[in-house]
Amino acid sequence: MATPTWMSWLEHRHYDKAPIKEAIIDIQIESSPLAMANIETPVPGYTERHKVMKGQLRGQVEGDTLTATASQDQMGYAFVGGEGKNVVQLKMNGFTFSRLAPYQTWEQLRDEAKMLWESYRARLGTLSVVRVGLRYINQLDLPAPVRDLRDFVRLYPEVSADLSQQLAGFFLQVQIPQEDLASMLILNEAMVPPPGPDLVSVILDIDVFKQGIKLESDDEVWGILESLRVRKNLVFESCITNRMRELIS
Amino acid sequence: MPAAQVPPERDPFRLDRFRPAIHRVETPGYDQRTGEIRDDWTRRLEQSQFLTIKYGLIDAEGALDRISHLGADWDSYGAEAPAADAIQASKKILEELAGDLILPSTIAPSAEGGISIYFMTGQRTVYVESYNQGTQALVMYGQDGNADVLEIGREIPLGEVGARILAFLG
Repeated sequence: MATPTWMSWLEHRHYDKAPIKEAIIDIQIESSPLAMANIETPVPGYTERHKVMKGQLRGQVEGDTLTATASQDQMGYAFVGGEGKNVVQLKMNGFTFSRLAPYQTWEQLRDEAKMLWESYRARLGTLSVVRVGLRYINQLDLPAPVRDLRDFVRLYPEVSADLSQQLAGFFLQVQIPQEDLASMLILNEAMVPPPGPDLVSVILDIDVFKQGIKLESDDEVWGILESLRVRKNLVFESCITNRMRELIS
Repeated sequence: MPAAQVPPERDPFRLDRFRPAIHRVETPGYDQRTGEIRDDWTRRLEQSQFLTIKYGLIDAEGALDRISHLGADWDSYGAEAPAADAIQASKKILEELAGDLILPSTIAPSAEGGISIYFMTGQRTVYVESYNQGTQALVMYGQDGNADVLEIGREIPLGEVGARILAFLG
């Protein structure tokens, strides 16, 4: 997707009230005979440790007896740092770094992730990266009542004019190949409960990733992330209207 | 006589508009596709701390809402119905713990009158009980079956409950 000329100035635009709730850098590796012990030691500055489980644990209470019913497989560990706003998941099959709101800058996100990635890599030795992804989860808080979503976003479910236009909820996913980057864009958009009574909230979840690769050099990994970041900005700008820009500026 | 040329903008069947937007329309079986979508969504939730907590809180508040409709003697052993104050206190605890990225394993009405929010890993169980009369307790069960009970607000500040739960569950 080439950057439309009229939009190029928006690519590096900064919003004072950026709606980013979470920014994620995800790097998956070729499975290796890795021992859990390699990844259980805390990373400096990330002292609080959680287990990362596959599958949700659900308890059940019957009479006075409480039992956990779902089986879980441990995938790795999550470490929390940055005053509870940074979370790094070190897993058997890869690495995920999350920055929760308030989002700072791309440079801070990237540099922190790089430092953590180097720590992960040092524990594993040689590894091959098979997927690199960048995901930004935005929550757009719109002033209620919203008469037309199109006033704020340019990606929306089009409901037949023969039906009521009142939406109590929606979930929309589009998958758009990014042929020039040999990557994929997955956009999820959904209504979620708002933080206040006078708001309507819409999640705009932008996931750009490259998979089907086999990289051993870190420079290549971070080079891909830089290009995905430019694309992510372009996608965000393509999905919002000027009225939305006013709300977050 | 040659066929009349329809100007592209007046041609209602301009199928070229769609090319190459749709790459593949054939799909696997409906059940398989449904499973793929569910698995993809689960992976996306697990990858995101924000969405895990957001949707986890929605589930937890749904559970609290269901419990709030219980009447007296809900267990047929004469238990009190959970009071509105206990529901509110439980909601506050859930929001506080969500800030520490902790979600409950399950939520249940308490036979002693109130609501219990459970957190479990392996052999260890912790629960926060919000009683109808207004007090709250943090109860930690070890593998030996012994319980350590702390009254929230008096023996442990609300803001430290999350760290204590994490430390206990390991």
